Amino acid sequence: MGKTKKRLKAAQEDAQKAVNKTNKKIEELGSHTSVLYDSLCSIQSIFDKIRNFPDEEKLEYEKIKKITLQWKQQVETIEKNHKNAIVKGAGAGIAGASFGVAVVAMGPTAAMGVATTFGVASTGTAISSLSGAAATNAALAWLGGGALAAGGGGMAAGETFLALAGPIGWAIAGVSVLVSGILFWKSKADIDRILNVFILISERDIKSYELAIVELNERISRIKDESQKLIKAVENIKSFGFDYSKMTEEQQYKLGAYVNLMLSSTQLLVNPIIGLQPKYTGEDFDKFLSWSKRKTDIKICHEYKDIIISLSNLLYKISLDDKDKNLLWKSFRKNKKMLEGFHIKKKEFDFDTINAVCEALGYKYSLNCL
Amino acid sequence: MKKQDVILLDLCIDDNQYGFAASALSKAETELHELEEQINETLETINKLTPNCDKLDYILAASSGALCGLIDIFLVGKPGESPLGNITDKWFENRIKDFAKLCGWKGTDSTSSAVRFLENQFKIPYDQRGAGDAASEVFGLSPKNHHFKSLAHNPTLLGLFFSILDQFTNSSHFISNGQLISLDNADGSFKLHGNDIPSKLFCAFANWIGHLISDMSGASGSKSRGMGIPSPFLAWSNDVIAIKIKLHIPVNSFDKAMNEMALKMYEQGFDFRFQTAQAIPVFINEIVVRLIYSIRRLIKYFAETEPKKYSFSSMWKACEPFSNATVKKMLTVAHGTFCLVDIGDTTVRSFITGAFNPVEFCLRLNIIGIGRFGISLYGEIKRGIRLNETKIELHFLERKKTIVLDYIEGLKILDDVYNDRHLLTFIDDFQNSGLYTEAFQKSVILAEKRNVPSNKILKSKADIDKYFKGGKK
Repeated sequence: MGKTKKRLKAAQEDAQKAVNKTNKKIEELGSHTSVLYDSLCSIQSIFDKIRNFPDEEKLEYEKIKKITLQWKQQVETIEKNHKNAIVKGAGAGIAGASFGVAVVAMGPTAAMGVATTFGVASTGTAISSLSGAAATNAALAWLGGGALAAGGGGMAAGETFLALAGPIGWAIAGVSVLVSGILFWKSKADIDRILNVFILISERDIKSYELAIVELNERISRIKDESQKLIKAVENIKSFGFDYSKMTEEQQYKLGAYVNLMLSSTQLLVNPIIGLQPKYTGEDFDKFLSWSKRKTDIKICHEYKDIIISLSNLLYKISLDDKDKNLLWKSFRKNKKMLEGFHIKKKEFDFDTINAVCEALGYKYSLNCL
Repeated sequence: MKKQDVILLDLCIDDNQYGFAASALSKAETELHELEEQINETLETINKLTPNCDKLDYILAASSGALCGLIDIFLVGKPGESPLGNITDKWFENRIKDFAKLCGWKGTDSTSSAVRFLENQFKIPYDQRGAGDAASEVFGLSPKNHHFKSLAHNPTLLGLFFSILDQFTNSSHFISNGQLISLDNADGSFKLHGNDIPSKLFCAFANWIGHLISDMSGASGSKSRGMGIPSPFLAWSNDVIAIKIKLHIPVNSFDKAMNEMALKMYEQGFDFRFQTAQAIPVFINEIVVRLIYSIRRLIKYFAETEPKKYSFSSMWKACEPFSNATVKKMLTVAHGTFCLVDIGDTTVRSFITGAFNPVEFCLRLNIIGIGRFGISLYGEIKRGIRLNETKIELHFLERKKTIVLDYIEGLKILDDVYNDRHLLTFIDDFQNSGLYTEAFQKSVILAEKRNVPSNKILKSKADIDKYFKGGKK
């Protein structure tokens, strides 16, 4: 085995370790979110008692609880969909137990962790870059990606390519599929060059996982702390009585602060983990489309939108020279699995697509610098 | 007032005891620093491997090569017509006399006397000269070729091996007509000194060296220039045949032809002494180029460095003509030019008689120059490959740096987003102070930091009232 191939193998092994560690953290996060969820429900019900709305207004204020409810529903969806995927996989003779990924054998707590990590109930504010449905898909793809790393499972390779709008799984699943084709090339220098690109992709993804782990740790510590704070707050509020108008001004301010605390703590359930967010989203692509200095033909942009977004995520922060671009293009064209995943024919996969990806990324970097 | 001070202090201090992001940030910055150091080291290696010659360097190097080529053409030429060769012949004679004196020779002028003395001092059993003895008839040995044909007279590793073997077994080994010939009981009077194997081995080695020196200017009976020790480059043609025969590999016609040509060259005087004469223009070329390099850099050093900053170490760093790619590139150009001039002259002269004369070609070809140029070329290729690899490594490290910088950016965002420990103290503030409006404001900032939709955050007393009383104040 060549030196560069060994380095790639080591980088992929490291990426797998980082994924496993991330999965463990997600599960740990899930185990704490249920406590937070219960605390949030308790404090919400106390607030409801104090507010004592007339029936016609109650319905309107129930909407406040929508986010937490949506989160709970998405947890259930993920759990259900994932169970279905596992059953399908087992039917095809794939043993889930051999995946070595903690989340694969998923229980309700892991589902909560995954739901939070991918922001499935996110309100679409600045932090989240995926809509609720897309985030649920990303959460499922994460689980599928973990399975795929060990040779197939939750999702078919092709589906994963499109479903993975983010960096999730690229390091292991995507890179494995993409590398498999290039090892038959003639020139060792070309193979090394392209393997270096994949090593960098793996290393970038490892950094994304590390970033996710850091945030998961921060999140877990806050969830643990704020769950306790909310429980104490419930006790404290009970001592005020349930008649708001009879409370002192200080007690009323305290109530207001607790409402803000409840809202802030709810965000701990729904704000997605940044490290596992897509690096390049549909929104980025739309900005690129409306860029007046764009060189890429609008027709190519529309026709190959999904591919451009997906490859932009793959190549995010990986600077390529002309030779790299050319070799990558060749390797993608030769990769039947990937072309099937993108629902594109070899002849259709033009070099302009790679140029479009590089231009789109360049534009995003320039926006980030502003 | 005192209580307010406490709260203000609380707001200002970054009491982030969770600190995962801050700790990861510090580690990532160390990683970035290490990566930058690695990039600097790689850049330094690239600088070391990249020749920095200007036009004048190339012109001077090529001129030196051409000049030494002319020295080779007119002063080295071929054996028997070589002014420099005559000088080296004389030099070797003097050194043999010096060596004889060192071994106890009492003579003064006669080289043959010194040689005879050394031959007696370092007696060996393989000195059959083929002058009138049976060997001349059977193996074609003659005083003109016996130093070449006798394996133990070859200044090579195999020559040393056969010398020791011959001295231990009182035998003699020759290569003649592509065959390895062994003479048993070669010299009835020979006895190897020494009491045990190590001492005998030492004596055999000393005899080999001593005898080679004695034969350097020909044997004691030589009347004219004499037949010296064959050049190691020619002796290899003997070694190839000897090794092949010992390993039972058939000796092919190419090996025999090479051996025959080497013998012809030797018979025309191409021996160790002439090889040394050939080394002179190559050596001059080497020295001149290194001197040119040093002198030019020295002038530049004095021109560009402030007198206050003069130091021997910085001067040596700027001028040393040994371990840098620039001087090596200049040497490649110089030796390449030398070889071009030499090969040009050699080719023309080998065609002078009409048909191509390979012996004439080889006699005039400066093997030392070709060898030196080969070494330079090998070095250039090796440096070129390493330079290419290092550039790839640098490109990789720079891209890795981009990734680490992106990671650091992410960590900075996390460090900012999760820098909320001081805001979460508002519950304690309610209990420990009467400043409940300030404590409430902390909860507002916290909600904003967590991206709670703005319309849902309770920002004032009015918002609190509205939330709990449904707008009925």
